[in-house]
Amino acid sequence: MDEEPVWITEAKEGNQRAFHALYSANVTRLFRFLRQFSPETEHVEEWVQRAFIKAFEHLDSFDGRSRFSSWLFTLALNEMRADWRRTQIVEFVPAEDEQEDASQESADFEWRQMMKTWMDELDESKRAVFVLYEVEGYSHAEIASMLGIAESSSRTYLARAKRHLQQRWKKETNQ
Amino acid sequence: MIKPEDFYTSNELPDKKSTHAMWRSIRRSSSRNRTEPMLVKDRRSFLYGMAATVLLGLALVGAWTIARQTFENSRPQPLRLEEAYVSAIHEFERVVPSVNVNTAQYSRDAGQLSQRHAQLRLVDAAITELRRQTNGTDLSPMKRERLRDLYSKKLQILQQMIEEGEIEL
Repeated sequence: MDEEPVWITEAKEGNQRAFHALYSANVTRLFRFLRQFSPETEHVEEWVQRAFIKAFEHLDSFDGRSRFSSWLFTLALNEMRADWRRTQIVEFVPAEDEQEDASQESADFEWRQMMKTWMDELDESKRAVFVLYEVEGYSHAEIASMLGIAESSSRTYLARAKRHLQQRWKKETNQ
Repeated sequence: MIKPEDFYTSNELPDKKSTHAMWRSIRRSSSRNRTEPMLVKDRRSFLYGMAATVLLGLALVGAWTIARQTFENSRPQPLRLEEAYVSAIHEFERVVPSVNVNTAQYSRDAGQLSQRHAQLRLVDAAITELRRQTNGTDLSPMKRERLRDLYSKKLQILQQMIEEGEIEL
């Protein structure tokens, strides 16, 4: 039974235990995702904390139409992007030539452990979409909402990320 | 779909300690009093800042003490001697309860006491004038010698007043 809606209702009423339950259920997912964007554990911890603090403070504005984790990821990404803006690092941008690549999403993509080492070669947008879709299981609609991009951009980024990883795999294995 | 356990490495997951630390910070920051959030990083920075401030304070005190001692030691001997005189007289005047004793009690010696008071005032005036002239930096041996004489005279007068019971201790 999914207890999340109950926790959210109780947390909205100020129940710390319910909020802790929400924290426990989501902290690992959020942390490991954000870890893909910084080698500094301190940065990741700070983004996680800020996201949960914002979530708790603005819980009344959460309407329940999306998953709580999806809303939480959006808050965390906003915090991360706010820091990026301050330090002049790149930002998620809509993909160019969206129609060109959107249909090329490779259906025969197969994840190889070695590909993890090439994740850093993907820009932040592609990396975020790839991890959110392929690992965390979010839909393109949810990812688009989280990153503030069009759904078609999300598909394009995913296709390009997969293509890059496949090409690197082929090059590495001389196929 | 890729299984999370096939994708993430162990060092990409939060350990128990950091999970608890983050929760404590979140709970504190988002409690009902809603004070400004103080994150783990903020607390660490605060502690480092406090430690640095204490160290800096100690270093400044040490530096100030050394500088003051160096300055004191570098001052000319006559100036230090004069300061010693001034300090001794001030200390002497401080411990003596009052020079303005009851003259009725000493009606027999009232004239003598009045004379000593007048001498003291003259010596004080002469010291003040000479100090003004030397301005604390004039190292003229003659003036220094004169100043020392005046200090010595003042001490002698005070000593006589004490010995003859004109000042109660």
